[in-house]
Amino acid sequence: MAEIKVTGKLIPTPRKAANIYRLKTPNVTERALRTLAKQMGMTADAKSATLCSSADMLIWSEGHLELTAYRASGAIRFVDRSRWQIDDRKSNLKIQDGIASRLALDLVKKMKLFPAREMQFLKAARLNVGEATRAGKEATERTIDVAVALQRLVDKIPVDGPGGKIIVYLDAQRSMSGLEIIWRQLGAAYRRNVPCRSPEAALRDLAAHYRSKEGIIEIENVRFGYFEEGWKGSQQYLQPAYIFFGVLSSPDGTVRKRMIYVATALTKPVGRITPPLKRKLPQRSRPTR
Amino acid sequence: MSINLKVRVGVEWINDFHNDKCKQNDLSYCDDQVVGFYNHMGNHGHTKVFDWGNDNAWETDFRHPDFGGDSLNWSDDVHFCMVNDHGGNSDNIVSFFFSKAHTNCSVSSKKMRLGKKNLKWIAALGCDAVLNTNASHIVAVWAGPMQGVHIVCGYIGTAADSWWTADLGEDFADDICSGDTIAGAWVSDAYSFWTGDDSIAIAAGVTRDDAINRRENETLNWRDFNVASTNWLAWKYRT
Repeated sequence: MAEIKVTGKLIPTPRKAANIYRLKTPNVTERALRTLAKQMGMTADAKSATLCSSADMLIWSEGHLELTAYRASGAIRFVDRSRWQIDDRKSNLKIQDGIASRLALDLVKKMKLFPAREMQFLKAARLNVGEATRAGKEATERTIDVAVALQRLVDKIPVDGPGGKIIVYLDAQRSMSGLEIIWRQLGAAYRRNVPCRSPEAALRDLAAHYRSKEGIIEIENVRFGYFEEGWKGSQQYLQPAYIFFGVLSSPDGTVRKRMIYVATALTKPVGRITPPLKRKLPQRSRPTR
Repeated sequence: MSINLKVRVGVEWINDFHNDKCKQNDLSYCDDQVVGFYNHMGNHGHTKVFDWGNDNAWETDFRHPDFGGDSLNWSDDVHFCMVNDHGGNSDNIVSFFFSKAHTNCSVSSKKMRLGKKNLKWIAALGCDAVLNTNASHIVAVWAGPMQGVHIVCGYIGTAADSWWTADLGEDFADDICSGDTIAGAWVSDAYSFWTGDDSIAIAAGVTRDDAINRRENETLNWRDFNVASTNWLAWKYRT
């Protein structure tokens, strides 16, 4: 059984009760996609576009512009294939986080996607390119874009997880080259004003989850927030969670891997968030040569 | 762009380690990531050659025969190899760790000759493909082991073992089979604002332009455009 060690500081139990929301079924149709295409500055004209449909997504393409909607989540990805993450081999984007964040917020406001009060700056991540000879000579490095993540807020509580974000990609000319939105539509409250349980109680879920595993899990950090899944999840409820960030280290500390476990945070949650570990059939023994 | 070449694919993963000299903390989702890659590559018509997990994954599959290994029959007998386990990086040498000794518990990059036979692309999903993004460190780690392989994909520092990134392999396979560039798809798919995974892809080239061209444009269709000599490395990463 894995041993759990808390090396960081657990957060106090949030005092304020929170709601659980139903999430609306995503409206991923050609019509909805064309409306969005217009918002993104595309013509949305069927004559000049291609619509591709698969089990997971709908893709609207006009030349080098591509708009994808994910059926399960309603998440959106818009990319300009001629500029998104493309290196022109000369530009070097030097932009501070504050300026990048302001530009991203302005773009989101202009597109009238969501009210600015429902989001906050999370992080700016830069795409860098570099080259050098095998001896490390003639080394060069440049930044070719910045991706700005804006985090969703629900009832002023941050939305954590792979979803609950708008990511704006700015190219070296500070123009938007891509946009990702994982932001499921809220329905009515399913449960109102439910008190939070303690992080210690949630930690017991984590220990139970890893019962069949061996090793030491060091919990370094815990966050509280609504938890939203990623592109492909058919999530039905949005509920608060404790998110545990830990490290699996070898005794000498030279070999490490991080781990993440998400537990429900309310005293009366809906189900669980991290699915139980699957029982896996062992492979047949490999023949020795 | 459509992909019109078929590639051979092999994957190895370790979740459960023996409680002996090979002991490491158990992992939970390494198989999900790489078997997802393996199966989706197969769904797109590519050839599934091997999927070795836990005790079936051996360090000799990555160790070159010059050092007594069998890499030319396994990792280097496919075009695309993906491995997910514990990784470490010390003194500019990357190591992959295995669940049991066959023959050793780990293999170091000093004993790898990636691309000597057929290997074109390798994705190492364990931690610490590089520890930082200093050019001197990147070339010190990878210029030696890259001996014909076109692109190495990995992480800067640690990576997360998480249910929430379990579909990385299948997403990456779908993207590169749709014609996305290998380095671009990796850096985009493997980076995570949430988990803190920082991705890097490193391309080899005979010249600076060759390495940059591979970093920016290489797809699965580049299978047979060999790297005659790794004189330059060109990389991209998001942090």
